[in-house]
Amino acid sequence: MRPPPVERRRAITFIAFPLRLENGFLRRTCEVEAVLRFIEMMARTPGGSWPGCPSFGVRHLFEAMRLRPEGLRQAEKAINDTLADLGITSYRVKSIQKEPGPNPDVDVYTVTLVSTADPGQTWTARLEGE
Amino acid sequence: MPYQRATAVEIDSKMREDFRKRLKEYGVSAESTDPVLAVLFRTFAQQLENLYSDTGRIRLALLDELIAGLGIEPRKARPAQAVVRVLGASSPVHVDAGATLRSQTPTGERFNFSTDAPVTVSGAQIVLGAAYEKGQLRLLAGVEMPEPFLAARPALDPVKVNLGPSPALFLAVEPAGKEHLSGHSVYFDLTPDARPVQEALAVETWCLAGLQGEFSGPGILRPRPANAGLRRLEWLVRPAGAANGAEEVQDKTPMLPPGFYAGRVFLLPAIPPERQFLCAVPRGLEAPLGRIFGREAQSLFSRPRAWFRITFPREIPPLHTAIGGVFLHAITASNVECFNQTIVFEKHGTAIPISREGGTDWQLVSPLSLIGEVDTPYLEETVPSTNPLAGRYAIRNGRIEITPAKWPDGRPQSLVNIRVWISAGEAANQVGPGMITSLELRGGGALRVLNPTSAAGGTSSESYASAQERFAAALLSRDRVVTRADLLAVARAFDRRIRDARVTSVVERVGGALRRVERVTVSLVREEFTDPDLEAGYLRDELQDLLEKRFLHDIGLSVRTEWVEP
Repeated sequence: MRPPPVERRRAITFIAFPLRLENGFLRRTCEVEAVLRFIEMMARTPGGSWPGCPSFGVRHLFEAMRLRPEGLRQAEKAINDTLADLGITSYRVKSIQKEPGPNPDVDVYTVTLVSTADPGQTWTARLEGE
Repeated sequence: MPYQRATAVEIDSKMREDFRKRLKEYGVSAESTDPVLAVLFRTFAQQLENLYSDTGRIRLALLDELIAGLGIEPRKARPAQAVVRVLGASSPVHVDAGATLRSQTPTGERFNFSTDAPVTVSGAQIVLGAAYEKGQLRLLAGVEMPEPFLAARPALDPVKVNLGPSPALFLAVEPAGKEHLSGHSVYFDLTPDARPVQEALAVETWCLAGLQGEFSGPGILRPRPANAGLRRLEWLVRPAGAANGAEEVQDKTPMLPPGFYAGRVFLLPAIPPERQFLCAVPRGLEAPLGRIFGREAQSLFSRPRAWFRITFPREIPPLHTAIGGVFLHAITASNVECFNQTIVFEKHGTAIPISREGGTDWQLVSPLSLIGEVDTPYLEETVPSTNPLAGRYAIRNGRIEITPAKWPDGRPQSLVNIRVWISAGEAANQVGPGMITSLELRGGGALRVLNPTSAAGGTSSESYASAQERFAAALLSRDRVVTRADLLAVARAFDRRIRDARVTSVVERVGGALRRVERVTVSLVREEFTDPDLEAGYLRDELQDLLEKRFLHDIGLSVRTEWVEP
């Protein structure tokens, strides 16, 4: 009697942003990198720009940060709401912090991403904007 | 089957699920969501949702065209309706239909209301209201009695009396001076669970007691539906020379469907001198009123007053709890205003926004008139006409689409004057009790106004489902009597006092020839009529008239009545 076939399954690879072709296929990346790139896209997009997801876009919050520091918390919430709305449930933003930078005209922020499956695992990325 | 519109999130979720299933077939697991794919799916789903939304609009526009084609009442906004009491008139004052009432909400918003029908107000007052049910008469707690009546400390407990098998409401009204109650109004404040009482009030007969205190044919009044759900009382036996009661002019107020307070305000007709009956106490009420008011009864009821009796069906819920109050000098008012605009086609185009759906701040209630350059009226698109020069209009998707009238040489006219009735729709529902503050009377004068309840019933548009249901009902019935079952159903529904109806087909000799006749016999109970023979005659004639209008052409029809035991 033949043993039942062992199910061999491979996980889908993630599409890298910006979209580029590599050997005839879309360039791929790892999951964390894909999510961090997505958050970067959100940071560059003003709120309410995309009817498909009203919470997408936090650029207006970063721009007003000097006058309204509470915008950092709002940005964290908007990003996490967007991730949840789009079904990206493996990660969430733990914090966004303003970093001191050499150029006073350029604001630098550090985004800390945490795995929802293993809260001990975190990743950080830097966001810059004038 | 109702049309369900999928949202972007639902479409997105379905696409992802399908995508995961297909990947699984290729041995690829997609438990985590790719952000780029998530954005693509959601964007695509959003586009699909927009497509669904456009389909919905097309369906709605199509339904509107079908409704217009059949001549059914079009889908439009319903104005909020309020009841206002007009106070402070010592002598009779005529308040015209369409008189403007102004209101202001706590948030500062202002809404105008227009009275739904003309009404006369005066210093007349209700001095007593009593409910008779199950062999007992008791005072209605909600009727404000004047001081001398209260001073007599009337008994609030019911007193036994036999006034017949049907429940009834008695109202005693003291007219102001020599004036009677022509054109006056009566408002019933009903408790929320009084639906059966409201339905009964809408159709039950009233009777004004005669000079000897008798309730008889000349005093019988019957309620008829009037504008916005008001009930206009009409004489059963029309006085000689009396005009038809329906005198509403659409130039003053639009013809509105029944509003939120439909069936609660009753308008008395013109009361000719020979019917201005007053009596001290109606027959049969002397003894129970004597027991309720004690020794004071004789002096309290020595003055002649107008006494009304309203009869109810036997199975009605307790009247004394259903009726929260009865007031004179009240009228319903609807949140409508007349809007005028001259449209120059070259400048404004021929598709003019006319309601919120088309981008305006208001809702269309009904078009009043479209008048061309030489005072020629425009016709609705579906109205037949032999005049090829006539201008036309149709209302679609919140816009009025105009086909300009032509000059005799075929050139199109350049402008049209549009008059429409508009409303704030559901926004005016926020006008609460006491917020209607003033009444503008034609010719000046000042009267106080009070709205005891909130404005209610305003809607911004009729929903697709409701319009479709109305359309289907109209299409199926078209108000025609075709089958035997139709004939019986219409006869039985004509008056609640018709206990039974039967139809027999007979052949009668008419004008020397034999002709088939459908004979409808309706059964009535004598005790349910104030003046049985007189009322049964009117009932038979009116039922015959109604059936003949709706029955098959060229088939004879005769209606007979018969008395049966209760």
